[in-house]
Order: sequence, then structure tokens, then C-alpha cells
Amino acid sequence: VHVESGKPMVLCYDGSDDATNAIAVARRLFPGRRAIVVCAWEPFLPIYTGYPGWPVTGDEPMKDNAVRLAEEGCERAGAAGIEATPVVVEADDGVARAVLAVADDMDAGVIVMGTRGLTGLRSVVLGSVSHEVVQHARRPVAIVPSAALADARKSARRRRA
Amino acid sequence: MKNILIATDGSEPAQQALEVAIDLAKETGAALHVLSVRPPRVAGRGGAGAPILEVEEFDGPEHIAEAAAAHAREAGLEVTPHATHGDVVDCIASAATSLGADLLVVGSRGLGSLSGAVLGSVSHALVRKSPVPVTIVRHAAVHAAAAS
Repeated sequence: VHVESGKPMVLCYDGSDDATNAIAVARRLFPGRRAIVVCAWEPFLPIYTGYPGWPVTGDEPMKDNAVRLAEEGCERAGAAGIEATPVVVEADDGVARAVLAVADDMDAGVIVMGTRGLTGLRSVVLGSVSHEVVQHARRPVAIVPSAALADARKSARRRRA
Repeated sequence: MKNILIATDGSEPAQQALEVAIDLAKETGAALHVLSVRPPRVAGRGGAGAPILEVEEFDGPEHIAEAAAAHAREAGLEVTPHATHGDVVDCIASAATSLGADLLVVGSRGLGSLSGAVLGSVSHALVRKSPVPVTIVRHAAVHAAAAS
């Protein structure tokens, strides 16, 4: 396994502070690498669509939100000095699988995720998406702790030392 | 990025992680730190019996860290080997802090196609405990890369 410098990095973005932090850290860890900002959206189960009183019908609002987030992620990457392209994917088999499929398609050199991973119905369990991505990835995966988490862990280590 | 810490037990996944760490150090000009940890003897594994893995030998971690460092030096990198003993996850996370590492790189056995084993427990625990970003290099990736 090698991290080929010409290969892009996949940045998982969900609009959270953790994901924004991961972008800034990725710039530092993998400088000069172009990025694909992935935002996955999970389709509603058919049972919910068209239910009377339910505020949304169909998947359009979810998809639109993902498109908006992917663009926002690219803007943030651009502001951090990363050349980025947005990719929006429907995660009909879970967010992790969708991210992995994009990474395979783009032949990414590395996948970068915040500790919390992506939002979505299946990622309510903390870190479950990143866990699944790591388990099935065919390339290195960088998991970036949030700034608060990194600080807390560092000071806990220093206190013990 | 100034410092990369690669943790190794001399296993094949750790070798793959070392290659990735070497690539990243070359790409970024970062210094490389190689750490090997001798784990405490576990009851039920024979107590004070003979070591099963090289890393369990008394001076095993020194040898493993030095061998990995020598390999990285061949790539023209500035490398410092470190060896210690204790709880593996704790030692690695503490070293990441004390060495001022910007990135930690570890290998993982990942999902074996036959065994169905889950993500290596050390790499998984490091994601939960490391104060710095962790790059996990899954061993199975080697087979995928070889096949493509």
C-alpha cells in the first residue's frame, strides 16, 4: 500500500464543525493534494413519502441539502487552499458504502473523515460510519478528532505523564 | 506537517503502514518516529511463558523499531526509533502527545474474508483515544492493490 501523491483525497463532509476541522487538518497532513468533497444522502423509506402531514414528499429535499453541503464543503476546502470538486451520492446501502464507492471510482489516495463521520439515519451511533469505512476501505483512511476532542485527549495524556 | 508517528509490531499490516508513513514523510518533508511497544503478559496466555510473537520478547520492540527505522532511512528520511512496554494503545497515544506527532499511522488486519475478524482492536481503540489524527492502513488493501 502506498499513498501516491498524485491521487486525490476524499473528504467526507456533512456540514458539522468536525467535518470542517477535518478539512483544515487534511490541508496540513496531505498538502498539495486535490480533493473530492463527498456528501452522501440517504433516501427516505418509501413508507414515509406522501404520508399526509409529512412535510416532505420524496427525496428531493434530502438530495438538495446534500448538493448544498457538498458545495459548502468545497468552498471551505478552497478557503483552506485545497482544490476541491463536489460529489453527491445517494447512499441507498448506507453512507459508508457510498463513500467507499466514490473513493474506488476516483481511485483516491486516502479517505479523510472527522471523528463523528457523516450525519444520516444509520450514523446515529457515534463513529459508526468511520468505523465501517475503515473496515472495508481498500486504501488508507485518516480519522481526524475534532479540535475539542484532540485538546482534551492531549491534556489528559500530559496530566498522566 | 513536522512529525509522523508510525506504530509497529513488526507484522505484515504494520509493514504496510510503514510504507504509507514513508510516502507521507517524503511528500511532506516530515520527520518519522517509529514506535514499537511490548505488551504486558496476559493471564491465560501462559503467564511468564515463552513469547509467542517477536514483539513479546524482552528486547523485541527495540529490534522491531530499529528494523523499521533502518528501512525508512533507506528512503532517505530522518527517522527516530522508540521502544517501550506497557498497554499498547496507551503507550502509542502517549507517545503521539509527547513526540508532538501531527499524524499517527497504524496498520490493521481489517476484515479477513475467511475469519470475519473485525477491525483490529488496537487501531479501533486508537481512533477513540488518539489525540492526533490516525491513518489506518488496512492489510486487505494489499490484495486489492495487487489485483488491480
